[in-house]
Amino acid sequence: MTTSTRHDGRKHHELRPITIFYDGLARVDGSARFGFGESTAALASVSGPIEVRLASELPSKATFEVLVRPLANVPATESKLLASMIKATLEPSLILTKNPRTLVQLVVQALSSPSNATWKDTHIAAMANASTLAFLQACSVPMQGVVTAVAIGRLVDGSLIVDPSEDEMSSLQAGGCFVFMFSGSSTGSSVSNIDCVWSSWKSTSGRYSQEELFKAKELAKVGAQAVYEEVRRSLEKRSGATAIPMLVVQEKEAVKEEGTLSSDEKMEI
Amino acid sequence: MGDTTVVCGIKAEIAEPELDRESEGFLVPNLDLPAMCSPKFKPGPPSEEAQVLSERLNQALVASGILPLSSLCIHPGKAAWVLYVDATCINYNGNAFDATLLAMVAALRNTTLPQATYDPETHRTICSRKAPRVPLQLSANFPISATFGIFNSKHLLADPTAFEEPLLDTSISVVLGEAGKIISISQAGSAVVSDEDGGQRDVLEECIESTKQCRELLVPQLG
Amino acid sequence: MAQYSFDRRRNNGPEGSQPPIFDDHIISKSEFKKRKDRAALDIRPIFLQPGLISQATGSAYIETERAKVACAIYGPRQSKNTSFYEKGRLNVEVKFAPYSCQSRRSPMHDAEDRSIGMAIHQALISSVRLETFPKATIDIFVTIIETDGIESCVSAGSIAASTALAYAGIEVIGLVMSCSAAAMGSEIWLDPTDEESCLSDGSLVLSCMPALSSVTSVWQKGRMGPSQALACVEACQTKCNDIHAVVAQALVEGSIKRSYR
Repeated sequence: MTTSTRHDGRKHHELRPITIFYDGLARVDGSARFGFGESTAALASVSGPIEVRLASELPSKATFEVLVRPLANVPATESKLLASMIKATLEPSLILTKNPRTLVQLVVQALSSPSNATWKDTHIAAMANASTLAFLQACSVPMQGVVTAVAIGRLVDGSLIVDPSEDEMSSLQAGGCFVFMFSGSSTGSSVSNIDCVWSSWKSTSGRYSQEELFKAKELAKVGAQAVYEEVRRSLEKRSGATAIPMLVVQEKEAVKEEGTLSSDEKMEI
Repeated sequence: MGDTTVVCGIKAEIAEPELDRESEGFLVPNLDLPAMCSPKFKPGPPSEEAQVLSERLNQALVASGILPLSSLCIHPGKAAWVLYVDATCINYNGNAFDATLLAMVAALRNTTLPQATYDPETHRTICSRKAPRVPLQLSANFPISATFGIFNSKHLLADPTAFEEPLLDTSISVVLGEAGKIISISQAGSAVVSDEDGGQRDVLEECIESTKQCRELLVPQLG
Repeated sequence: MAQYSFDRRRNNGPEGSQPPIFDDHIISKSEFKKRKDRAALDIRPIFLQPGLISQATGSAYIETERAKVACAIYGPRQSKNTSFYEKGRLNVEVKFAPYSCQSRRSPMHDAEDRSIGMAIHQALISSVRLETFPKATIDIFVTIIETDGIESCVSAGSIAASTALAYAGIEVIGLVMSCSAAAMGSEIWLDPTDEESCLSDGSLVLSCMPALSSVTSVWQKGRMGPSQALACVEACQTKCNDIHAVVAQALVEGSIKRSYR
């Protein structure tokens, strides 16, 4: 890994400063804001388990619904795709079978809009991280691990960088987003298993080979670990506990009264 | 592709280019999964699956750069071609993404456009019926995809059917361009497969290899 | 020109686009004094394949030169609206592929596909034994892949739907065949193409059950005298007998193929 610096003075494997806020939205079970640097951020909120519409009720597990709202414009096919991506990233970490015939609803609001139409990976990463944080804060859905995401880009000279900034994105040749799940033994403190649960990678130049993908994946693993540490620290700060609850198996005692969770209060446009 | 049948048609129309991209045309891919193709779908507006697939197809076509949008320009800032690439699924038996991408690429390859000229005085674009139609300026880097699924963390299945799709833990889509270059890879779920003897391995490499073989088989058939 | 509307469930093109305008004009009317490629009472060759769609209860694909129609049948399945109805229901939905016509069609429903759906529904309804499946619905989905005039959509759609019904094993009292005719001055041209029906004075689509020699529906538009209309009906009915043989043959072949599978 080269140590040459980037536009903003970062090293290749360095993330932008991460911002995490648990500023609670009052009407949801959990919400969090996550940002890479100043320009990329997302807000996520979790409601659930709540009552499910009869049509989408699943007999053996909870229905997991993800809605993505862009910063500007109405949600179109693009946010549908983002929603399905985020759903796929988080689904492996959630134990949905604990609450059959309920609905877990995740709403992600983008707080920044990508300046470049081709490379949205940092935004996807921010959204996925914000969603994880919201679930951790809500504590209402049992989880089997913590999912963190990080974007990787490849510059023209062939070097790989973590978390490309808006300026760097315009000069990218390839890029992608990698999501890792950190799950541990039930004692909680040690992370024993790191698994890449979701990835997307694309390149516009075509000059891109298989080895590079695996190199990128390795780099992403380091980056995701840094994000994970940050998530952990933020939770420790918030709760004062020494370890983050790895397996939140206890269900929330009573779901709030149904009336407080009607749909108009869940960040509808 | 097996029992999945997709028909793709391309309609060319003329529109004014976007202000910030004066010399570029448009490529508008859409997939329709009508109620006809499977009992899973209901009549009405496009289902969530159709929307997600349309957007993925759009991204695959854009990322591969199969058609330089600048070649669709008729007169900068005034007129450009819009290619509506509409695919309709006639018979749905899983893996609509691969089948549709293949249909779209094949359709683009035999599309011809009439020669058009923009008349600055009348502000109209006129096409000639007599002049020979020209084929699209496609790059050789056309995308071919292959989708794989992992069932029960043990079995790697290529080209999952509608019966298999809901049962998969993981699905991996590899889109390859010319000479085995990777255009995009998307993986949902863990790519680790455990063998019968308890060992674990990452199958991503295997998928890329078999997509390469798949592409080699398909390219001659595209003509 | 397609009416532009932003559809957030699809990939959208630019705001307002027009089909290309060509420099020469549409071929003048005089060239159609005599039919070029076939006799006035000939129809175009029919290609019919039942059982195309594996997921459906029954299906059929029909192609008459440029007109291509696929049809699938699902059901009988539970009616969506819960009100009790002692007979079964027949639900026909027609959809045009966006690339099926000369100019691009927006993927929305419009008046045309509804009216074709109504016409097919009317042609079929009297042939189906609705009393055998109370409280249930048969959904017939017709997708028009390529059109060649609205008349051929109706006739090809009706034949495909009836074939698919038979292939699905749904009880019908007879196969419904359909044929269109156009009045060109004093002549009658069977199975007109789009260009021909635009030039004609009037056109008529006859649907009948040749096995029971009964007519199920007549769909007429334009201007023609009563005697000419009756002549059209006569001509169509004779042709329907021929089509009936083709369809029966295709069904036999289709079911043999199915039994081998």
